Amino acid sequence: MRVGLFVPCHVDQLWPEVGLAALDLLERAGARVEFPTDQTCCGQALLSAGGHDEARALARRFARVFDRYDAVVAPSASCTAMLRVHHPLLLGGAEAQAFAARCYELCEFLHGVLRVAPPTHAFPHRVALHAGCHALRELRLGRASEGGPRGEDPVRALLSGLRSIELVSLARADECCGFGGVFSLVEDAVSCRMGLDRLADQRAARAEVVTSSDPSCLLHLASLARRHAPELRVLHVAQILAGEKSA
Amino acid sequence: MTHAERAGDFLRDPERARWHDASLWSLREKRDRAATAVPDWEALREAAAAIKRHTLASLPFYLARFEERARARGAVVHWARDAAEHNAIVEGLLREAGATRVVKSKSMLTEECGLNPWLEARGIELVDTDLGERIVQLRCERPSHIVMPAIHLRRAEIGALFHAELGTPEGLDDPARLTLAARTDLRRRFLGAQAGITGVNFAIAETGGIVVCTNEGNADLGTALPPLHIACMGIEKLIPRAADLPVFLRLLARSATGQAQTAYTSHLHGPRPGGALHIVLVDNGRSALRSRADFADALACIRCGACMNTCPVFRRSGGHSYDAVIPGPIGSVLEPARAPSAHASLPQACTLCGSCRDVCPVRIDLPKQLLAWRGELLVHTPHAGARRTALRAARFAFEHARVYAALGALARLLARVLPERWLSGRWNAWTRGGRALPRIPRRSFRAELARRRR
Amino acid sequence: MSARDEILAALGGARAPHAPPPLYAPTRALDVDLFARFAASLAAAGGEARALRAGESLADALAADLAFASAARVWSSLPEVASRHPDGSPRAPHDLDGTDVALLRGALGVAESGAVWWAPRDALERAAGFLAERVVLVVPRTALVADLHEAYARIDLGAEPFGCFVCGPSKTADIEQALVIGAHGPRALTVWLK
Repeated sequence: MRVGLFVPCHVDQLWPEVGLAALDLLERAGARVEFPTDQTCCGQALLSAGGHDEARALARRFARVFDRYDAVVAPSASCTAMLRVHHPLLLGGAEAQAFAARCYELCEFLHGVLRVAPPTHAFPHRVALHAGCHALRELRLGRASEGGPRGEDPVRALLSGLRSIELVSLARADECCGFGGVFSLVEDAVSCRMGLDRLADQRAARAEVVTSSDPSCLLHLASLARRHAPELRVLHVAQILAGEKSA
Repeated sequence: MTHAERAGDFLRDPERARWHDASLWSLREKRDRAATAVPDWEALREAAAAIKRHTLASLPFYLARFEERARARGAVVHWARDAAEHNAIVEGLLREAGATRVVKSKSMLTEECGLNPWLEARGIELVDTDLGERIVQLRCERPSHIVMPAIHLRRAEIGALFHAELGTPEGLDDPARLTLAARTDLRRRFLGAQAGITGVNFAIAETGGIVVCTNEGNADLGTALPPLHIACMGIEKLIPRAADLPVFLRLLARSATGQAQTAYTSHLHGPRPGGALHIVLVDNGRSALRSRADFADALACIRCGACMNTCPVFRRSGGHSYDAVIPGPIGSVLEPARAPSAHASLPQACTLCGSCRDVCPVRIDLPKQLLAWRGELLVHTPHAGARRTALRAARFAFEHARVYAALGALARLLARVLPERWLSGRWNAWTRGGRALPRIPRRSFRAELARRRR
Repeated sequence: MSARDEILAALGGARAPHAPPPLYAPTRALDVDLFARFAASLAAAGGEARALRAGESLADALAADLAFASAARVWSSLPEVASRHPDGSPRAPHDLDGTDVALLRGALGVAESGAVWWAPRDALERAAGFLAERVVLVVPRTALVADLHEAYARIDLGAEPFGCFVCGPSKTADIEQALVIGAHGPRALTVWLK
């Protein structure tokens, strides 16, 4: 199976470690991974800012760049939701639908498609798992607290193999962190309030590490944590799963 | 003012914001427990969605049937194209009956039409009787929530209001005693009213009857005592058959407050002996909304308020931050249809978390509609031209991988060399609310990968 | 063009609809103790369900109820219990203000929610049900149904101009979500199953 690794623009520019950890995990799992260097952005930020035409152009381009792969894998649930749910809506047609079905979030792909054994190295920390909204309610990886369709949460499944890891339970298991793409800039007051509320919940659970399959939520939370909760470490789940080097 | 600015004002009192969030979250939790206790919850949502969509598709047929059957039962049916026509019809009916003292139970439609100020300006005293609505009426403000109109207020504020308006002892803030004071005052008004106005939760085409749900019994006192009952409803309230009612009734109260059913679910088929029942069917933009493929689905809303309770933005910004008759996610879809430029910021007041879609008892895909509005309302947002340009520039960069990589490298370089003070000025919305700048890596992922592979 | 015709035209005209969706068929748990379920649901709604013991008459049961025994003004829709109108018989709905207890005949009870279907026969009974401080609904024990679907299948909707599912006493939570029983209408509701 030829796998195209999609490293979302914000990960590419701001958090290269996450891309490296994802690549490492996929290679260790025996996949033939390539990083097509012509890739840029899935267009999610543009769509959420109201740029439907611009997002459509990028969706078309994305399909062109990744067309040759059997699977497209991204270390971001939110960008994967853009590929799987919104690209076919923007482009229409059976071909777009079929392409969308080949796009996976990293943990979903490792656990559900490659069926890798969960890593077993030690990670002796109290970890708060931030459930990203798009993982939950667009990709249906896990089940939202308000109900709705039930799916397996591959992030939890993979993390629970780690030795000495303690997954803490939060008062609000899947409350939105307030990132929301352009929302974080347009509605900065509410956005930050929401993020601070998440940090407070995670601190109350005495978490040492916050992780998620969604790097954009994590960048927002990390930026708040740096000012308001410096003791919290924010790691992408790929970094934890890839082991000491990356984490 | 935009939603963001009003939300910023609301958040300036962090203690109140926390309380408001917790208060609405507890409603979400009650709804979750109630939904979980119903084994066929998802099947009910599915059925409700199908019935509503079918009814909306065949709306003229069901409206005509409803009119015919309601008339056969002795009700008088009126049609209003818009708010002014609705208000004029109600005013005319009240004048004809010589009614100057009128009680009203909860109706978002009359709120939408501005009936209260219309009648007051014409010398007719209209008293809202739902406790929450009475509270906001006495405060001269609009409801902040469609099910819990006074959910933004603390008990002490209501105590002070009642002390001034109803003469309760100063400092009294016990909800039971404040409610009793309102009950005593409103009982007198019920007994003295010459007409009662109600909203409508469901209108049954098959039987020509209307259904009104309340917990307080105010709609019932308002229709059992005065001889004239005027029921005001949007044309989207129709359902085909009486046997469809249980599908909605099992969803409505559970979604709204977590109750299995409201205390009173009243079915009115024609006037009571010696009385009169007038039903006003109001369009006011609904037929136009129905013709818009992207947004017609919003007409399926049964006004349970669940999308507000679950919305993380609503909980932290308060209903008044929407500055609209209907706030929250459903309001952010409906209100721009009425006045696009006034409500252009509402669809932005959303992280697209998707929870509203999951709780909606009639499965309205609210995030999808909010996303659709964002594109359409771009022309009305502040700095629309700049945003358009930014979108086009971003598209250009993302369509050319080398341009994107070069711009990324330049931006990272600047972010690393410029003083943080410059970068996190007031102009920077990322840092304004309390976020630090992200830690900027020297190399991008693609640069690092290229380096390692060399 | 009239408002009616204009609205109908804007909606595309009153053509006959496609077939409506099939009626909803609920999945029901079997062997549910309907009385226990009804009583629990009603308790959650702030009311109380009671069953007459074998051989006990409603009059006996009410006589043992001190609040009822001492009530000055009673509206009764039941032949076996007399009304008490110390100020003379009510002639208009408004005359029922001040009623202590309204005894009403419920047609059926819904186990899933604790609601009782009540269709008053006249305007006085209708007003009594909302003006009284306390309402007692009497429902045949055999008239308990599982849910609202079953209830609507049995109700003759529209037989009376007014019919109501009563689910507990009047209540509000409009002040800081604190539940207060007795908003505008009855402060207590008892359902007797006989």
